[in-house]
Amino acid sequence: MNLKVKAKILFLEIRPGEFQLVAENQKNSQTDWAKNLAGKYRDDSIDAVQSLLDDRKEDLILEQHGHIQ
Amino acid sequence: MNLLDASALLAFLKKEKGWENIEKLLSSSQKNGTSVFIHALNFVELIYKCEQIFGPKKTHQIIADLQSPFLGIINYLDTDLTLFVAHLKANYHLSLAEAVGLAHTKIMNATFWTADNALEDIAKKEKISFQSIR
Repeated sequence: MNLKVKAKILFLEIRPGEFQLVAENQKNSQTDWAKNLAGKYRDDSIDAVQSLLDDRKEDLILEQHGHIQ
Repeated sequence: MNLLDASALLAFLKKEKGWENIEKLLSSSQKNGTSVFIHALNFVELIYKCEQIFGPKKTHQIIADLQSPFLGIINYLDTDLTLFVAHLKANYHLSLAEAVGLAHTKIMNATFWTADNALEDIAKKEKISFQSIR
């Protein structure tokens, strides 16, 4: 029998008994995952990070006024 | 271990200021066969902001693109984490998502990567490893 290991799956124990798939050292389409995804959704029409940070500030103001808990 | 704030992952996807730092982090983790993590509550922030900007269809594509063994979405909220989130909320001026991100980092003894520099003082006071991308 000729067995060939194509992938090795690794797990991290996040909490006792709770495992998370963390990596698979497989040379496949995931090879350039981070590189391909960087800036894939570039859109200069809005500063999304600033918008998110503004939302957080707004949430705090609403909390202080009792509109959300 | 490295944890991402929604702001850091958003900057990476949209190529906004500081995005290169997250590309390096993710590429390095990928090369080393490890993962970077984000708490589910911070992931919610990322997704709702994407839906506001891009609409639901494109957001589903973004979610699909983020499915990778190199990015782990952690959804636990156990007693230790709950108590530390409560401690942060009781003592500092920060949103629930920010508190969860910082508390998660503290509990996991990790580093928090964010564009939210307003959190730096809290991180220092609470001895949480903090890495600004900007």
